[in-house]
Amino acid sequence: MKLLPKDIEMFEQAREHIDTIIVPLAGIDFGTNMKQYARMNEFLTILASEIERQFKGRIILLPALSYIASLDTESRKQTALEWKVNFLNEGFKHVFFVTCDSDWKAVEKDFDQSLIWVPAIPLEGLDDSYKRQMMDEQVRQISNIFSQKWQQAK
Amino acid sequence: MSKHRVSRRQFLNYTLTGVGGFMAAGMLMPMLRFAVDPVLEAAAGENFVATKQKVDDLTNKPVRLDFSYKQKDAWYESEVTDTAWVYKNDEGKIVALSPVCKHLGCTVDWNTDKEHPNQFFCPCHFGRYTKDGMNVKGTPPLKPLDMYDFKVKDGILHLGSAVPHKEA
Ligand code: FES
Repeated sequence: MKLLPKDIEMFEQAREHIDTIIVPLAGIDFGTNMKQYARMNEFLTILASEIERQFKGRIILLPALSYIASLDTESRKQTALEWKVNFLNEGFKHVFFVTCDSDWKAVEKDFDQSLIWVPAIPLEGLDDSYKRQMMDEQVRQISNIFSQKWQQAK
Repeated sequence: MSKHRVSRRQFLNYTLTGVGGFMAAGMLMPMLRFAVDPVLEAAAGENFVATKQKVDDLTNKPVRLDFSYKQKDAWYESEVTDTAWVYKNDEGKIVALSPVCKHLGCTVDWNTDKEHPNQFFCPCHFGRYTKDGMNVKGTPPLKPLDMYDFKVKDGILHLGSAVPHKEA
């Protein structure tokens, strides 16, 4: 589900079943990498909403945690980790971060397998059905990660 | 003094009718909307969308069909893609099931749970459905999967809206 009033009604009724938070991590840049980051954002937005559609009943998709891509990675990492601790304290069992920005790969180990990096494939000019197929494939791979974690926690 | 002076009583009359009118309108408008909306929705439900599936190619193994249509809300006109699981049952009849889990709405997959082959499986809370869409007792969903209305035109499968399972 998303942070929408109608979804929250469902959340309140079935809270014990909804134990996973998804946070997209989205960089912003107005320098030379502007287009590249825009592309990542497009890809990430679609990917996140497809994940949400697939796992509506168990996850909450949050608005993206956005940051200035040219600033140092440390502070955004701290913010992300703070979010994670906060959600775990709220009683959620799993927090996953999803991003297309390869900067995060350098700090992956601090996230204890909760950081999922997916390369953004340029979607411009691609045929619709091909786009969908590609996105499905990505979602399937991410599904596997979720399912594994959930099975372990069973 | 002018003869057109409005008396206290007239003044109150005018203003109260005005205010009352607004209030009544405020109450009635949403009611009217609720009354009319279902009619509009029912009309929209009559739309059938062509899939890419040739009916002759369907077998008894469920296949995943994506089909898209335009949907409009207050802000966007967006292209919505829905999915159906489609196959022919033992009597050769077409079955088109909605993949939306009746527990909390995740998307079910066919035959992905190794311990329970040939069932629809929901990864979220391990809900299961038999091939005909009936929920397996003891798993979280309490209702069978919805079914799509469909029709066949020129050998191509067209899907309508999802309705509650017919055998439920
Ligand atoms: S949403 Fe399918 S089992 Fe809970």
